[in-house]
Amino acid sequence: MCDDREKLIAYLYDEASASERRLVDAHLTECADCRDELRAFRGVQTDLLAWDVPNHESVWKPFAAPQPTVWWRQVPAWGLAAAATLVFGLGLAGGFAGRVLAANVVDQRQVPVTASVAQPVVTPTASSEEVTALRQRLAQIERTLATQPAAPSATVAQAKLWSRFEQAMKETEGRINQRTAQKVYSAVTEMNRQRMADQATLNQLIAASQDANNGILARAISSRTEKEKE
Amino acid sequence: MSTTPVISDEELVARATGGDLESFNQLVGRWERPIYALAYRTLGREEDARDVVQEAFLRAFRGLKGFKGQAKFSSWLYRITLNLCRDWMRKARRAPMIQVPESEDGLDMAEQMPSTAESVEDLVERSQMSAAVAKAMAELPEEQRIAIVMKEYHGLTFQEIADALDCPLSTVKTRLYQGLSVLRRRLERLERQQADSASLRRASWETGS
Repeated sequence: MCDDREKLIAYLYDEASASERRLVDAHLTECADCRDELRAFRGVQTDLLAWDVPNHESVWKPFAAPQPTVWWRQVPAWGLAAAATLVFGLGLAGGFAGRVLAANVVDQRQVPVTASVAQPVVTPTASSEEVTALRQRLAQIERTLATQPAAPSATVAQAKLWSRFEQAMKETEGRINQRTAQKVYSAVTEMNRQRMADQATLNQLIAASQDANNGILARAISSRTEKEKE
Repeated sequence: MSTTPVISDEELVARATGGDLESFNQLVGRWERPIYALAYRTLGREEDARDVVQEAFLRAFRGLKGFKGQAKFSSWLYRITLNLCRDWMRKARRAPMIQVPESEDGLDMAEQMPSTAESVEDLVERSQMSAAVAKAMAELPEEQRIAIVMKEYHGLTFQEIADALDCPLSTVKTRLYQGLSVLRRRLERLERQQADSASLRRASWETGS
């Protein structure tokens, strides 16, 4: 094997074929150098076992399972709109979030636009596009919050923020319900007025039509009477 | 002993590819230790090994769809890890730095493993031997070291190593032969030194100085 190291290595690691194994066995009986080498390699193998790997903490942060549905998925569209406004309002006015929210809701489309961020416009009749956009924005905020875990000191501030938000939601809800009621009322009134107007027009038309029919009938009758007379 | 049937790596890969993240977490749990050991023994530094392990699993996750099961999952993972190790060494352009464990006298180790039957003396010797082997391995040329680590510590076949390193079978055997020859010389020299110092210590102990 002195000139065929590959065979000796295959023999050492037990990966030699049966015929190779026989060749090596035969060679080892007559070559002291190769016997020495093989014994030394086995000694190295034993020494290598002493090399410990230091203990270590896992470096892997397990992938999180999909998150359960978050609370704002269960809030109706107007709530989403109000929440988005609140979040933007907080970013803009800090502690005056409530007031900004109120202003946004009351002033409708006269919302100031700051920097590159346009304020979402809140109306009780938000279009589906607006709601979709707001949903996307909320999802984005949700992701941002998920990747930036709040510091322990932020918990108190969050609780305050939450109660302020709840209060603002209640106020907004009342205000929006009122507005909706007004809208419904005026819509019903308008509809009623329109209905009555339509009724009047219809009555006139019917009357006119009857008049016309009567005229035709009268003419027909008279012409027929005249024919009979003839 | 668990009675639940063991899910194969390949089954877990299939589930993870289908979007089951927990299956991938399981694969990591299964392979993190061997992969860490491979990276640590190849690079010689704990911080580097940790970084490589993290990157290896991220790469594996990103490449899951490309893993068609033509090889064993573990071989594929070894290959990713080794490629990262080689990149790392190339970038660092330095020989691996083996950190000699702080508990050089073995006493810390003795405290950590009170239940083993080994005596403190055995542990001291083992700890010194571990550091000696680490040093000898670190001095090997990169390709020889990788071949020895994969064969001796991970039990891969010549063919598996050749696949992982993209080299012919005969090259793997040659590298193993050369690596073992160098280690043999270094370790034999070291053992002689240790034997000398041990007999010195014994002599000073016996004379009471």
